[in-house]
Amino acid sequence: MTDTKPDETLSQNAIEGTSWSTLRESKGISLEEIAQQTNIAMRKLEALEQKDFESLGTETFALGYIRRYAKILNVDPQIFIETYKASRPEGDESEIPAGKIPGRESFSMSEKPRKIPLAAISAIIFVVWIGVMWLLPGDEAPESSKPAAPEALEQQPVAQSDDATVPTPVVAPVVTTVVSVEKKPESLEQSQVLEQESETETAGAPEIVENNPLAADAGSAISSNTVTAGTSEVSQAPVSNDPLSESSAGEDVIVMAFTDDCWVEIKDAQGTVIFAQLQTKEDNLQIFGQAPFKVMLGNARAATVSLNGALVSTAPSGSQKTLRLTLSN
Amino acid sequence: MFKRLRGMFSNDLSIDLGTANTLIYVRDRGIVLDEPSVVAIRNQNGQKSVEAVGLAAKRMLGRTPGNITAIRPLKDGVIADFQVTEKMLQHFIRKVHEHSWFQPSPRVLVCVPCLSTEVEKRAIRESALGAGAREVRLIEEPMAAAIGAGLKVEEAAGSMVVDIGGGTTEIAIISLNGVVLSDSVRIGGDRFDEAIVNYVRRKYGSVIGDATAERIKQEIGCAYAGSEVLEIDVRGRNLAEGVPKSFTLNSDEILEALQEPLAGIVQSIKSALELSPPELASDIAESGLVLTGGGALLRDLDRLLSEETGLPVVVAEDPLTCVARGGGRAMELMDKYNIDLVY
Repeated sequence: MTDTKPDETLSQNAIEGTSWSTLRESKGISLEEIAQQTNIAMRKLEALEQKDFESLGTETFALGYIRRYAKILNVDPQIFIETYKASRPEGDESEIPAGKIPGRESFSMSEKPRKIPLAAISAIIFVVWIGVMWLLPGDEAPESSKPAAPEALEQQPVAQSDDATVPTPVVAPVVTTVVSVEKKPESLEQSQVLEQESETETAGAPEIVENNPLAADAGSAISSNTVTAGTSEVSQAPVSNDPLSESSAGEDVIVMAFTDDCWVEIKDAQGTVIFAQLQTKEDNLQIFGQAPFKVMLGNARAATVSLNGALVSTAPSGSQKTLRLTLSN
Repeated sequence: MFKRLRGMFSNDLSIDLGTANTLIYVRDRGIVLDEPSVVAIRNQNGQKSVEAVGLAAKRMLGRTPGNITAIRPLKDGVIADFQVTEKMLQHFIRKVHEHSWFQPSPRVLVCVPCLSTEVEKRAIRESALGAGAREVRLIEEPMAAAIGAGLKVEEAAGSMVVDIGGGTTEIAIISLNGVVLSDSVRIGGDRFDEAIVNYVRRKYGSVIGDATAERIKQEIGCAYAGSEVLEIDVRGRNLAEGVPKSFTLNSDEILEALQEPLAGIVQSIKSALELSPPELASDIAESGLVLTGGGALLRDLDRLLSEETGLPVVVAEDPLTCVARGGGRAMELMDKYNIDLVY
């Protein structure tokens, strides 16, 4: 691009040491000649020689003038350009030809790429969450249907945080009936249904989930206790599936058998929900606790209930399916 | 359908779809692709397939057997072969996203000549969409060139840009983020090469290829009569004897060969200056005009234009990539300040 090769004898140090005008004069070139050749205004060339780069205008023009000036002096323009860049306050930023617009705040050019990892991370989290939600119910189901070990005497609170797995019982209008039944120990027929109350409620957090087919046989072996009306003192409601150990503990036992699907919720004397689960056809259930029990049956016609061996009537009035009753000795 | 999702894994691209070279600028990565706009097509029993694209295809130009044709799908700055352009863009976009897992679907800004017709613009838009872009924006080449050259286009001051590309020369006066006046002449690097081929045929009775003409232009080509004289040895096929022959060309001869296209560019610049509003003309007289594009690398072209117009003429830094860089910069500015640089 140059007429001749740049003057090799002029090192950068030599140029930096002398002023540009001295260099030009040593080559016998006047400023007017340069102005004539390049059409650059005299005052701009003077400013350039005095290294007053601010008055040269934008960097594009300043660098352009410097290149043309260096070309006429037959000097490598890079030496002059380095001097110019060193004098710029912005330093590195001025090196970017498509640099920032002065007067406007600078901004990161990597704005867009940053979004990609964020999006990827959120997508991965979402997929993991979906996976967990999908797998969790699958893990819980076998646990709840698994027969409990016979030696489990102590209360077994089951963490059942996922309400989605517990079906909501059928809501029924309030039905209150009081049935007096004669007490006859050793007989399965006699029991007293003191109160049947129906409230709108949903499944609470059950403490015991138990489903033992052996419980039905065990229920017949339990000696009957008196059934009394009213509420009694609060006591812990341990539940076990071992009928032998339970009968000796002197607690009350409810035995239920089902001929169809039925939602069952049982509260003990303290009002604690000790059982809340859907029972399916031919399920048998045995619950130990402190009477009186508040029992809610979603499909009362499908259930046979006995308290301490005494059979309790579970026929709801009219066409009702749901039955709420209180069982006490 | 999944363009948006794929777009999250794609970069915003600024494409300088030039007649001679295609450049792609990616945010915070700079110029990532600079390849000739050439596609080699293999024709096998009537079935066409892409044999090579870019540099590999350019090497095939003029050296292909019967079943392969090396095509330059753009002519005079606009699309001449729609399908091949689409294939070429597709190849380039994929090449830029080589490490991506997904098929890329970037937002794309393409530079178009300022006097291109609606049909030409539509062809460019459609081919970019066909190549996988999810959103296509167009920008006038001189505007991108001015931004790429570092001119303060947002100021209320006139800036004049002359972008000499492969197919066209774009001349524009820009102020307040807009093109005040523009002109586009279909003279560029290709016309220079063509002029050299014609001159050699006339003067030496020998035929040289486009690639040789381009090499001559780059090595000894000059635009100003007072420049240093350089020489080059070239070989061409002698028309009379029909055998390859070697001869020496000097830069004065090339200057003579280039007279016609250079005069065309000078004339267009003068016309633009004549039409410019006086206030902007005064700004341009003060600071000068800026040369960008590959043509700006022609030796002493700035000197010729300076003498012809009486204005200071400066060559932008890295003139070849100005348009692509400016396009990328324009995209950032549009996102940041919501300004309208695109039509």
